[in-house]
This record gives sequence, C-alpha cells and structure tokens, in this order.
Amino acid sequence: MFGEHLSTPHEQVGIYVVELDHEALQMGRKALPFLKDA
Amino acid sequence: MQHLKVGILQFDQVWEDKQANFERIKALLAGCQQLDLLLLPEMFHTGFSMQIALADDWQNSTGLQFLKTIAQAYDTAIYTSLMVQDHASFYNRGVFIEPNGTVYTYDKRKAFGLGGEDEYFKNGSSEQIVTYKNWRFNLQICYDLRFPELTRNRIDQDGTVAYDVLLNVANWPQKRISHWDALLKARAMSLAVIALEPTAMHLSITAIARY
Repeated sequence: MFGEHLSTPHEQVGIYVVELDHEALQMGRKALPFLKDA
Repeated sequence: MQHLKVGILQFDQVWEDKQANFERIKALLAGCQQLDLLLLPEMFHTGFSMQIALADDWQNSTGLQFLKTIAQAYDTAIYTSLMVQDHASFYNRGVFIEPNGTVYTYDKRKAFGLGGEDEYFKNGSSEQIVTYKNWRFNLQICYDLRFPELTRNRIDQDGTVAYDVLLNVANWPQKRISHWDALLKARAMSLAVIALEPTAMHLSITAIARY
C-alpha cells in the first residue's frame, strides 16, 4: 500500500477494480507530513 | 471513512462512433460488481477527436444522458470527459456524475497544442474538487498532468487537506508511456494523494499510484 504502484494489463479490455483505503492514506500523510510546509 | 471501490473501465474506443461506444460500455458493465465510482477514458464516446461537429450540445447531450442512466442503473458515480458545445465555444469537459443525477463539471485547462486541440477547444479556467462519500477528488484531464501548478495540494484553513484523490482521464500515447508512469508516481508522492488515471487501452496503460 505505502508507495504502491499498480498498472492494469496493456491492451486488455475489462473493468479493473481497486479499493481505496482512506485510513492508509492518512497514515502516509502522518508519516511524512510535508504538506504543512507547502 | 469508508473504503471506496473504484472501477476503471479499459476498452478499445470506436473512433468517432458514439453509439458503438455506448454499446461497448454497456456490454462491459453487464454483471459488474457494485462500485462506488466508475472511470472511463477521456472523450469517452468519440475518442480523442478534433471533429467538433461531433460535439454534444451541452444543453441536450446524449453522452451526458447516457452517463446519467448508467450512474443510476448501477448506483455508482462516474467520471470521464466528452466534447461539448456550450453556447459559442467548444470544450473538452470533464463530468463527475452522482447516481442521483447531480453533475459537476471541469473543463480541461491545458489543451494539447501538439495535437491541435487548442485550435478547436477553449481552455477551462478553474479547479474543480468534488466531495463524494467523504472523499475529495481533484478532477483533471490528460495533458493537465504535465502541469504541476494545476494540481497543487495544500492544507486548507480548516486544517483539512484540500483533496485526497487525483482523477485524470486520458488518451495518453503509448510512445510517451515512460512520461506517464513517472508523472503519475510523482504526483501521488509529491501531493500526498492517490492518483487514479484511466486511459484508452489501445494507446496506453491505466495506472494507479498510491502515496
């Protein structure tokens, strides 16, 4: 999850489903809180 | 906050044939599991065409009506773009549609000059962040991805991060796929967001980068 990069198969028709986890996103932001310095 | 189930529909768009694209999308959706959000490529019902004669009249858009019908039937939000004429101007217009029919729009801010898009379509002028199921989505279209100033994230006055997910629908060429991959990862990491980027399958890949 942390820094994960996913790609769907090239030239394959279909619906690819991914589940987004807001808690994991928030954990990442807490671990690297650089947005406060933006 | 609930997890969000996102479906990325990857399909071979039929060039400038709206009805054929409607049929392909309906066929692919048949039997699909329950989703919260469905993503389709840029200019979903024509392909990335400069044939503005194909643009939908914004006030009577068959493309928008099709998307509303799908959103309601499958109880899912949808994000994609389509070419429209709105009064005297043409736009590559992003549409985020809720199942109840509510529509949020985003006009592509960076027309792809290399392909002549700037000769036909007027650039949009403003950011659009949509809140849906407590997630915040920054709407983008294709070439916008190259311009980081358009996607800058920040902490707003109430202490919340401006947005959680960068949604960029595209028709990105395969020969520049290395740029796509690098920009996608960079945006996800530098903005502290999840980047979801569906594109047409015959031109590029669809990629997902998570912070």
